[in-house]
Amino acid sequence: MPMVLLEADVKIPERKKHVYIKQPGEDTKQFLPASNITTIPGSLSERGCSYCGAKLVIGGVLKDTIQIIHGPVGCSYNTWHTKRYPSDTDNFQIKYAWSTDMKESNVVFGGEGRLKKSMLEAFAAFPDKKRMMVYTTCATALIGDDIKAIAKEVEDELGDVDIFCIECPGFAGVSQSRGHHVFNIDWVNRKVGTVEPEITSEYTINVIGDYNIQGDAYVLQRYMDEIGVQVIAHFTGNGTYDACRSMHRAKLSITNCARSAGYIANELQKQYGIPRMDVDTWGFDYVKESLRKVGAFFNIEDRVEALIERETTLYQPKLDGYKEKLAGKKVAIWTGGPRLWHWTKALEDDLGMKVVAMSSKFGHQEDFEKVISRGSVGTVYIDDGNELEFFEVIDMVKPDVIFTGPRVGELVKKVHVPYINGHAYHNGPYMGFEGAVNMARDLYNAINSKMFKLAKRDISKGV
Amino acid sequence: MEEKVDAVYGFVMERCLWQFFSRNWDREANIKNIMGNVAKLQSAQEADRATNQTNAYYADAKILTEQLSKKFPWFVSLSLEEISTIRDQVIDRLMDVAVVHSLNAERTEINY
Ligand code: SF4
Repeated sequence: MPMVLLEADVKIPERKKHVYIKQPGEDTKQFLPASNITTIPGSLSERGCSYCGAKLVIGGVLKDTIQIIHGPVGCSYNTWHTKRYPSDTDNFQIKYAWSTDMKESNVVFGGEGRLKKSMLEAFAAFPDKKRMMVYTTCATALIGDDIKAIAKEVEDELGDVDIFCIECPGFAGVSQSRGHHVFNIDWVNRKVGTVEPEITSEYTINVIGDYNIQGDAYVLQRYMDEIGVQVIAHFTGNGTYDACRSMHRAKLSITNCARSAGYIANELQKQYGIPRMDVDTWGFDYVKESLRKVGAFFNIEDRVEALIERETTLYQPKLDGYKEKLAGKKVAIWTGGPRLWHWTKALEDDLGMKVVAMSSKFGHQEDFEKVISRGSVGTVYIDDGNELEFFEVIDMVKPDVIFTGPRVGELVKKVHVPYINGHAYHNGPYMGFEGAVNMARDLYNAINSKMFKLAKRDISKGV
Repeated sequence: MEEKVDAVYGFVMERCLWQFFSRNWDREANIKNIMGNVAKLQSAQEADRATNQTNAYYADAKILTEQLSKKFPWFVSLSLEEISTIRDQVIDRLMDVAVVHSLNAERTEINY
């Protein structure tokens, strides 16, 4: 079947090239949804802005870095607290939000003075913090504030601080994906190679594209500690600014989210000869495979097998218990992009579920190549889905549960379909062996929620 | 033999990610090196592990070879000639879908 024009899109027929239903014998040479292109006017997109991609997804995760948002206060609020990525520095990065709080007079007369004052104030307020990121937003990019010049002045004045500037305002690209891109490339070109790490093991890696959502990075760190592999940098889950400056010293980069961080993995390969190895750190069986690849790379297979055996003994029975209850249940994945291809086979193979619809907010065609190759026939694949499409697809495929964000989640609740927070999770971590069980438990709880069954009743009609 | 090629190709497409790296040149290097190593490891030859990069191709290939051996009982007993044919045909098909006829417009951009 070629691309599909949903009824909801009759007035915006351009949407046809973004919606695909896979048929037997088809592959991505024949059909591939258009993606990473401008949202069509009239389509109520769920996308975020480009600045958000840099700050909320990547930079804001670092646990030791002040994040100055140079713009109106709303830009700061928009990227604060909505993702649950804890840290072992008492959650410094999610406790605080910083903004230069630009007002009309600053837009008219320039905001550089206000920026400098805010930066100095922030360093004074957090005297143990010596690292900072500064982001432009729409307003400050349009008036041309030179944030790099100000950062240089502050660095010179204070002497012991290091500042990274991200010039990626909301309008820089079609979605948050542009922010990932700008952050990755600027970081590798301007900061990587400027700090030398202390090497404590002959086995060294970068863990790229994991953001410690509800503790994912802790799980991965524990595994690496156990097999004696030194993580030079987590980019950026529970990571530090200086560790990410020393990424050039790893022997291998394992990349989970290739969409938000594939760029830096590619550049580390090109500039420093560090191979990029893509892995799935979600999914019970995938985790085994990923650990085994690391084991094979470093010739430490015996340690990896011991870890796998212990974790399997511990968690396989729990997973199997949920599999029994979840087999055959229909699930939709409406998240950013990569989780579609990370999760579809894991849910089908590990839990026996059926993935009936997937929608990506900011994925590129590369993500659709992966997800259509991994995903099932008959499944609906959508790029940059809109609200009306979501309702139509729910009617069409009748999912038992949907992984999505709180915005779409609130929508689908209204038609009494339970949702699980696919970005920040309900009760994670979701990575690793224990994470796969957590995810299965959340699926089970969502599908079997008595509250949901009660909410469906219309007491005015007595049913 | 065609069925065996289909089986290996299908498994790679469903399971692996390296054929869909960001750009044509990465995809081609991965496809040729990893599948080349799979054929070597299946026939008990040594793979090149001299650099971190070739070692990464080896690691991906080693795990894939083990998975194929477990999933398809016939895989372990393929002759050298048979595994070479499978290697070449799977490489051709992966190159076709991920490089030559891919509809992904981004894979030819010169920068990452
Ligand atoms: S679109 Fe512009 S103004 Fe809105 S949050 Fe993003 S950077 Fe701020």
